[in-house]
Amino acid sequence: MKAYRQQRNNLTLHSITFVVQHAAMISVCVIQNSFAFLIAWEMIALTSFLVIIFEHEHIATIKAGINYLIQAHFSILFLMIGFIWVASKTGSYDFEAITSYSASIPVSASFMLFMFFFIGFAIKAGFVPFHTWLPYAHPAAPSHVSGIMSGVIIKIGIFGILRMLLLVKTDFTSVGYLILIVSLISGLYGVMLAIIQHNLKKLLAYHSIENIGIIGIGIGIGCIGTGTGNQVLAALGFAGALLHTLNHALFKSLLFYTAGNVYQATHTMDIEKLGGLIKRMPQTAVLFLIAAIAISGIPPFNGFVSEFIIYTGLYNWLSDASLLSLLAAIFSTMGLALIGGLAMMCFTKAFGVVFLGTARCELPSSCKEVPFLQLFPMYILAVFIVLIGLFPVSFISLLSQPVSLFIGTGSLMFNASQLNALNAIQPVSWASWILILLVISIFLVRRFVMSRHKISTGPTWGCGYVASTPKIQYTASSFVRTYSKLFAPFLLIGKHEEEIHGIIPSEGKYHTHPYDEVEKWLIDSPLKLNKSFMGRFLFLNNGKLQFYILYGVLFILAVLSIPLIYQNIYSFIGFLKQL
Amino acid sequence: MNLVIAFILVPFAGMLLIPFLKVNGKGIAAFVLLAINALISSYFAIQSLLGDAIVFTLPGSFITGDFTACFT
Repeated sequence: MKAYRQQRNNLTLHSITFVVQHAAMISVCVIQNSFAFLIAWEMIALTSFLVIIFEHEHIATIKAGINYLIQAHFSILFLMIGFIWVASKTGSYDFEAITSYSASIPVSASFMLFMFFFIGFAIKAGFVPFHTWLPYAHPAAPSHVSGIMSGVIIKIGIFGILRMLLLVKTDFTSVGYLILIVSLISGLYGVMLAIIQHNLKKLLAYHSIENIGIIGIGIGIGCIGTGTGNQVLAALGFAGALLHTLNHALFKSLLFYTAGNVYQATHTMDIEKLGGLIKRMPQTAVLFLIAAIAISGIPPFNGFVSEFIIYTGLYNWLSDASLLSLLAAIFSTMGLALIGGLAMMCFTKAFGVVFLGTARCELPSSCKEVPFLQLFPMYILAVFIVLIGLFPVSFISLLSQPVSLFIGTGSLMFNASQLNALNAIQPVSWASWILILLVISIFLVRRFVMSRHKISTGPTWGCGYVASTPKIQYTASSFVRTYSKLFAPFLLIGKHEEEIHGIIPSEGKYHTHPYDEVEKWLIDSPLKLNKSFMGRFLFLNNGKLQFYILYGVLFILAVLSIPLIYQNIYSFIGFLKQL
Repeated sequence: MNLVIAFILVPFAGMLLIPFLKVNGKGIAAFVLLAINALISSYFAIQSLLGDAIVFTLPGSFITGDFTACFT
């Protein structure tokens, strides 16, 4: 593996595009003109492509980059349709035109308009089934880029959806249910696939899809609250979604940066080859653990606070009298609980296999903790993760301004919060303080007691078995074997097994390769069909210059004749109408 | 308005400056430019979070209209 700073030829372009990407991302969040918005959106797509393909010597990196670029342009296509629709009817590219136009058309049309924007932004955010670029782009990109992509770029998609909810006047209840269903599917599907991944960065990428699902659940119930006039539900939904957006940016960036440390030290992201890194990289291990606890939604860190607000919203919704609301609330609560449980399982596996036990393969001799300068930004992220967990009320009060945009009044957020969230959040904060103090006290007492004892180390007792190897340890796959069996109908796991023969058998092999079912049906199958269809026209590509000139002439004739044909058909239809 | 122009000029400064620097310099320059833009945008974002909406308009063309940007 080449260190990033040794790849001098790539560094210039990478540094410039990184700066431009940052400027474009901020611009997208403030621009109020759809023309300029699309230019900034395109700049994000192009600069992201360039930063992803930093290590373009690898074919997989180029493939991931092109995959991202194509899907990013599908996103632009949908947004363009939406913006052009409004501009063609109003003659204005200003965002205010979207509000005035959507208010003047039937609800079904404004719902359709919102759908164009939603799909455009959902591709960037990584909602299922538009998520297929994510598991390729994140592992292919350098770790600092993966952190930015997962922490910021996919949040721009969420920002876009929220912005359109403010601009498009439509039926918020229908929109809310739609977002809620898509989000529940995204959350569950993301975490279900994350568990079976062997590549650490791919595992984290699928968790991004899961967390986008959690944010979407908050947005969904917020919209339903707005649509049905339940302002407490609206406030809690949007507050939970916005806080989880910030929280996910913090802990997911930290996870990707620590994964980058692991890659730098071990030169691999295959968790089946790792193990025992806590001994060589203790600070990275602790930082990873903090982020893993936070992403699993466990107190006392920030992930718990935002999920708690969303849960409070869902419990509030349960008191709604209508049957549909009740069923939706029950299924959403169950879904969110399942997502949280599975995320905890996944990170238990990831942390246990990567950092605990002993290495499953020989690690490079240079495998050691990264320099403090590299760890310093990660500590800053960790501090914010802890701070939000310990002082949730302060951070929630910061949300009152943006949340009030969705529910229409500045003071309502606090009314809602006083009723439900804030009253419950304060004891949570105290409990977090007590938990942290308890852990520190136990650690200090243990240290004091153990300081009097002499500690000797030796090999692990193998119950008399003397030929033990590190490969005997639990693997990542064996850890989730029961889960894989249980969820087998929903998962696509390729298995390659070589049977063992003979009295003294040779070495056996067993590989599993997780595949994405949605990708198979939505991208691979249509591409296969397209390839097979286009294969029928291969005879046209015969290498003879005369034929290529003929194709060019035929093309020019077609271009010239199409308007004439169109005009004649139009005249003929006019004639028929007159008859 | 000066801050907005500075924000727009920062990436251009990066394009002109970074190619002529050595490896360490490229990283430092990128970091400094990112920090400048982060500080400028944070200033507006914090103002906005505290309740002061900031709106500024850049001249556009007769097709697109003026480009309005807003921190609300």
